[in-house]
Amino acid sequence: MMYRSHHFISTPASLIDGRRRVGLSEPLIVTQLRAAPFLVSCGFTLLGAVFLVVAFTTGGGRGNLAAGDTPDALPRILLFAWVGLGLADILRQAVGSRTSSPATNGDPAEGVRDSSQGSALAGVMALTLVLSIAIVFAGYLLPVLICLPVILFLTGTRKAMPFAAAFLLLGPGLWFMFHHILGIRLPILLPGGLL
Amino acid sequence: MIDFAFLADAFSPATLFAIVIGTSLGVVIGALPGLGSVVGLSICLPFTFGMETVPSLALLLGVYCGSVYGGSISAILINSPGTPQSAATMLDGYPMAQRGEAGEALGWSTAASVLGGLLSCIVLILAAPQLARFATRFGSVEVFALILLALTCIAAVSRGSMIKGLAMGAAGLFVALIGTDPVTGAARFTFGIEFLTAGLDLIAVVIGLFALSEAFSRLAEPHGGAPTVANARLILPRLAAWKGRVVNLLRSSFIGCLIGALPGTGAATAAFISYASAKQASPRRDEFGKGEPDGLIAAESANNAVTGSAMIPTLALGIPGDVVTAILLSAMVVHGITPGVRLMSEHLDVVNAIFVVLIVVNIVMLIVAFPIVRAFGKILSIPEPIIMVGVIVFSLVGAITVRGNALDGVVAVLFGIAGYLLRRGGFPLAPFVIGLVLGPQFEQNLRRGLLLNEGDILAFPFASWIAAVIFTLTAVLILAGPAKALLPKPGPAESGRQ
Repeated sequence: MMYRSHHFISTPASLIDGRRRVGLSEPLIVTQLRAAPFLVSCGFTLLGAVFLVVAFTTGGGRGNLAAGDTPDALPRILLFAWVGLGLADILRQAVGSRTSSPATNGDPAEGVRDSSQGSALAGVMALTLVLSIAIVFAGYLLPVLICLPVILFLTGTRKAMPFAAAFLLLGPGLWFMFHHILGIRLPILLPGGLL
Repeated sequence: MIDFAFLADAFSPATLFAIVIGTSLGVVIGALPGLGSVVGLSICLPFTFGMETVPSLALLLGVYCGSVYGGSISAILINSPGTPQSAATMLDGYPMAQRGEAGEALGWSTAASVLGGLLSCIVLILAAPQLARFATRFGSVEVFALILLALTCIAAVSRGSMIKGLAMGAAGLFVALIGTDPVTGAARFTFGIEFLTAGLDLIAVVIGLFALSEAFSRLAEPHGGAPTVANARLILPRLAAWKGRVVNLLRSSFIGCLIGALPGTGAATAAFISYASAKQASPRRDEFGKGEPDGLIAAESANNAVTGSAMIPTLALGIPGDVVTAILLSAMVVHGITPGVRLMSEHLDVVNAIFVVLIVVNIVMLIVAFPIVRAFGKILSIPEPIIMVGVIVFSLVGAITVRGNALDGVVAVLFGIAGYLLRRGGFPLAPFVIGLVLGPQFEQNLRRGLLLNEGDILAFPFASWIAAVIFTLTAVLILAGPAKALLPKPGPAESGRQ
C-alpha cells in the first residue's frame, strides 16, 4: 500500500483520493489518525459508564448488585457488558498503537480533513439540530424556510437555478405534498392554521 | 386448505402502484453512488404511514429489491458501485462498458438480477413455512437464545472488531429498554422527561443512524462529479447466449440464498463468494476481470438472491438478519403486526401477500430498468450535495411523522451525529439496530424464562436440545474470535505468497 509509506506521509502536498493534503508534520498526522477512533471509543464507553452510575443511583435496586428480577436487572447487565467491552476496545487500541509502527497504523486519508470542509460539516450538523428543535416550537414550514437555504449554501450549492429548485422542492414543495397530497400533517405553528 | 384472499391484496391497484413506484425509486436510489437500500428505505418510510399494510410493504420491498439491482447500473457505467452489494459487478461490468458493450453488460446484470431474485422467492416460499413450523417448538428460553445467537452472528461478521460489534449490540439492547417497564410499569432511564416514557422510536433512531449519518459522511467526503453517461441502452441477452451459463446462474443464486438466510452476512459477501466460485468453475476463468459475462451473472444473481432469502428468518422467526429487514419489521410494527416466532401463524395473509409481492417486484424491475437506464445520465447530473440535503430533509420529515411527535426529529438528528462519529470510530451500526429491534423481545423472553427456571439463568442451556444447540453455537462464535487471534500469524514471506 504505497500511500501508507513513510515517504508519503512526509510529503505535504500529495494527493489522496483526489483531495489535496494540507501540510501537516508526520507526528501530528499520526496523532490525528489514532485520536479519532480512540476518542470515539472513549466517548462511547464514558456514555455507558454514565448510564451505569445512573442505574445504581436511581431505580428499584439502588446500589444492590443482586437486585434480582427487577426492571433494572437486565439494563444493568447490558450496561456492564457495554462498559466492559468498551474498556476492552480501548485497551486493545492502546496496546495496538504501542506495538504497531506509526506509519502503518490507519489510513492517512482518514485522519486528514480540510479544515474548511470540517467546519462546513459542523455547521450543517448544528443547523440540522437547530432545525429539528425549531420544528418542535414553530412547526415545520417556518424553520425550514429559514434553515434550508443556509444548509444548501453551506453544502456548496451556489448556482441560482439548482439552489432555487432545491429550496422550492425540499422546502415548501415537500410541505405542500405532505399536507395537501398525501394528507400527512407535519407539525404546525398555529393549531388548524396555515403555518 | 389455502385461503387465496391474500391475492386480492397483492394484486390490488394500490399494491401494484406501490410496487411500480417503489421499484423505480429503488433502482434510482441504488444507481446513485452512496445511497443504498437502508437510506432508500429510511427516506421512503414516511410515505407508507398513511397506506394499508400490504401496499406499504410492497413499496418498501420494491425499494429494497430495486436498490440492490440499481447499484449495478452505476457499477457498469461509471465504475462506481451505487451500493456495496454491486462492488463485484464492477469487476467485469466496467471492462465490458469500456469495450463498448455497456448495453450487453446491463442486459446480463438485469437478467441475472431478475432470475436470481425470482429463484430466491421460490426458496423463501418453500423454506419459510417449514422454518416457521419448526419455530412453534420454541419457548421463551429458545427465543432468548436465538436472539443472542443472531446478535453474536451480526457482531462477528460486522465490519470492524467483534468487541465493538458486541458492545454496540449491548448498547442497542439497552437503548431499547429505555421507557416504561412492560411488567411493573416503572420508568427506566427517563430522567423525568415525559417524552421518554414511551421509549425512543425505533424508526427515528434508524433514520438518524443510517440516513442522516450517511448524508453527513458523504458531505464530509465529497466524491466529486460523476462522469456523464449519455444514451446508455439496455440490451437483454438472447436465449442462445445463455448456453453454458445456466449452471453458473443456479449455483450463484443458491449461494446468495444460503448466505442471505444467515444473519449479518449480506449481499456484498454473497456476490464476492459466488464470483470467486464462478471463476474457479468457469472454463473461461482467465477472462474474469476483463469483461466476462459469467462474472456479472455470478455477482448479480447472488446479490439479488439475498433479497428473498434474507426474509426467511425475518418472516419465520421474527429475527431480522440485517438492517434492511429490521426496517421492514419496524414498518410492520407501525401497521400493528408484532414480529416474533408466531408472525407467520398470526398474519399468514400478510406473509403470503409478501411472497407474491416479491415475485411481482422482480418482474417489474425488468420493465422499469429500460427507461431508468436511458435516463441515468440525467439522474447523475443532480449535484451530490443537493441529494444529501434532500436526504436530510426527508429523514427529518420521516422521523417526525412516525408518531406525529416533533421531538422524534431531534432524536433522529442526535443519533445521526452519533452515527457519524461511531462510523469514524470504526463501530458497526448494524448490531445496534438489531439490538434495538429485538430488545423488547429479548427482555420479555429472558424474564419469562427466568420465571420458568426459578430464576436460574444457568439452567437455560439445559432447557431443551434446541436451546443447547443454539447456546453452543453462540459460545463457539464468541470464542472463535479470540482463538483466531491466538493462532500463529503467517510470516511476511508466507503472507507475501498468498
